[in-house]
Amino acid sequence: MTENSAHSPLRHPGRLMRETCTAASVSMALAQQLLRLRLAQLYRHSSLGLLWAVLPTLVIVSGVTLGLRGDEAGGVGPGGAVAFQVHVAFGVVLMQTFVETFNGHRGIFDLHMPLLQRMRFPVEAVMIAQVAESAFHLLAKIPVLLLVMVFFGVPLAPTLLLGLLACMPILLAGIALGALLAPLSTLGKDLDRAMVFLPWLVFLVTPVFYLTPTEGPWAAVQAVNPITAMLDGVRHLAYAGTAPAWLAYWITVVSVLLVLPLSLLMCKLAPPHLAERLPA
Amino acid sequence: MTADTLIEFNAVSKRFCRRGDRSLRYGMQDLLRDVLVRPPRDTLRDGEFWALRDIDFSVRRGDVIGLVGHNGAGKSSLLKLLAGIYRPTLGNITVRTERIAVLDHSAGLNPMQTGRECIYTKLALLGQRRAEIAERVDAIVAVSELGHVIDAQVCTYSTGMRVRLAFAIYASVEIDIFLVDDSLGVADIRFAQRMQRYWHDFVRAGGTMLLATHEMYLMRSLCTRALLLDHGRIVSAGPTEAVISEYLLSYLPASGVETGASDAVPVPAPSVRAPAAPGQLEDPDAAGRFARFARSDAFPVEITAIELAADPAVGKGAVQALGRLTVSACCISSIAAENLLFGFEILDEQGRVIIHVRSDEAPHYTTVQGANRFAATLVNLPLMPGRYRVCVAVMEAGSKAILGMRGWEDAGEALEVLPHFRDDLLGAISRQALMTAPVIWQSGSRHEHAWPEAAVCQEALADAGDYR
Repeated sequence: MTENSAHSPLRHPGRLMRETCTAASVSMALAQQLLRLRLAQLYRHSSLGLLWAVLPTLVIVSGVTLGLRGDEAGGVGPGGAVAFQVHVAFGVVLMQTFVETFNGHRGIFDLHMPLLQRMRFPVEAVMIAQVAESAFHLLAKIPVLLLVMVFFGVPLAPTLLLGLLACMPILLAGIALGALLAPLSTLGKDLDRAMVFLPWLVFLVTPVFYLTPTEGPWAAVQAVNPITAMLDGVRHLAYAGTAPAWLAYWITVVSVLLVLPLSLLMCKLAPPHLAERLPA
Repeated sequence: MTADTLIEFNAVSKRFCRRGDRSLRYGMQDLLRDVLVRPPRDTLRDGEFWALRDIDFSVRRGDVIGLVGHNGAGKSSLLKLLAGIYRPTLGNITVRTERIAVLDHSAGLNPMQTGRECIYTKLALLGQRRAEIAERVDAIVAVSELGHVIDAQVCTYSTGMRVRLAFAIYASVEIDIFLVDDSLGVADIRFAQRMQRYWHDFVRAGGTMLLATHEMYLMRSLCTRALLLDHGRIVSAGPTEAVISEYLLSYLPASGVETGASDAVPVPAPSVRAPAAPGQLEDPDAAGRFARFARSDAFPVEITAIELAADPAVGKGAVQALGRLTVSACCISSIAAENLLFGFEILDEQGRVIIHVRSDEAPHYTTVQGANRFAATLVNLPLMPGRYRVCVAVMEAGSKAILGMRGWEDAGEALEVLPHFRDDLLGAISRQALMTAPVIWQSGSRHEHAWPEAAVCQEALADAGDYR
């Protein structure tokens, strides 16, 4: 039996939680289906198919690698032993992951609105499929990072696994921020327009193409930039790159974990409000 | 809520906003009210209106309910609330099943997916596993008759093709409630008939339907009762015929009175539906219905030819204006049946229906297996000279389901109406009159001796009940 009430579903949080868990568990098959179809949809009508999941990263990283001469750029890590190109390659891949995950979750309702407006739809399935899609794109980029490390002779230390694990907060940050803003993004088009320049701005204020400054006003900017801490965390664990400001790192991780449930709640409650306000 | 109540609306109201520029603001306000667990508000903000107001009714398992009303009366909103797509602004809706299918113009298919992918998505949403879906795909594709485009994206489909695909998908699974939102008109006539036959089958098997359509024939043949909605309120509820009549009468131009919103009338509890004896239900499960739906593309009465005979005879396929025209349908029937209706339409060159007649009041026709002939005569054909075409159909008297038809899918039987030189027909042609008519001319006086034929005319008109 289902009840569709004018009252907020949060009036009975226990019931909402149970319903959400049940919906999530029965949505696994549907989420798999959605993911499979989404990937097919993304890469159909292209001669290279799934290669497109890797190709942009490969081209950018290759361009950066060829464009930067190690002797000019210097090295990073202990004694400057690691080529600067590795630092840039990690920065590019991680930032791409963040922006893609953010955009994917931000547009989650736009993507599925034809279904959401036609039938009661377990939004949990959509969320799970979107998380899986983001994870797929991250996993598709990891071989590029390994290739760069091997190419530049960086030893593949066991801490590399921890480094890959440290990618999770970046993924979760993209999910939390994207899902939180998804209803806003669907109802208004301001975010769409802002995304024309926002990623460039984030690239600018985050040490992707330069080393994290340690002094001066720019260092103060980096101290309050949560993405800097997360990027440096991964780099440090993967190849002993610049150590992050650990306090900022953990504050960021905890904040992401706190915002994430609120974001998921917004996504859970949003569909009927969106369905009635968007043209069919 | 009694044990067999399937759906219950309790004081449901729904508010919408006409102003697109307020979507973001109001949407985020409402979402934040949910997050902050604020109670619902019974007020309107700038640009908002009540699409539905104080709706109370219940539906029992096996009820088939028609929703009647003008555009914007709230029929689609009611169905979407029931489907759980919208949340009520006030009140609550209880539904004792999750197996609900909504069929409307866009059919809820993702336009960026291919038809085949849509089958997988829809069936996964309806709780089917991948292996189960894989078993059904070919049958669904065959039934939808979209095999040639099934791997093309749905955005390349016409609206009718989308509805066909969605309907074939729904027909293949077990559904408790069908919510049909005026989607009949978009399918071609043959598929629309197949859909109608499926629904008759679904209803006979005890299925529940809410049907919002302007196809009154279908509503009359399917629905046990109907609700008349006007400006978001239920203004009448009861037997389908009575509600449809009320709706049609209220919109007659002659009334000159616009129907205003009035207080909601509580809908009487539906009459208890007599449970069908097990033997009466023919394969009540979805698989059985789907199998019958799959093989329902051929009509049991195949009309092989339409014959036209005129009196006075003026040549093949021709009739004189106000002449006598006999329309015959020659057919091969695969069934023997009684209680059949015969009907035909005469369409002009632009495809407008000029004459539509059906033998509802006449003794019913019958068929035997094999060759049959249905015939009817128009005594004084009131058409202006010109070219027309004739289409014919044979249907069941009870359900109005079409058993055979000819003419709508092709050019029909050509008919030429020729002029005569009486009653100033040429004047009517020059005045671009739409039709002519047989007339009994009266004198200007009602004195018995004024005109020798006047008394005869008066008697004839009095007999016809038209003389005052």
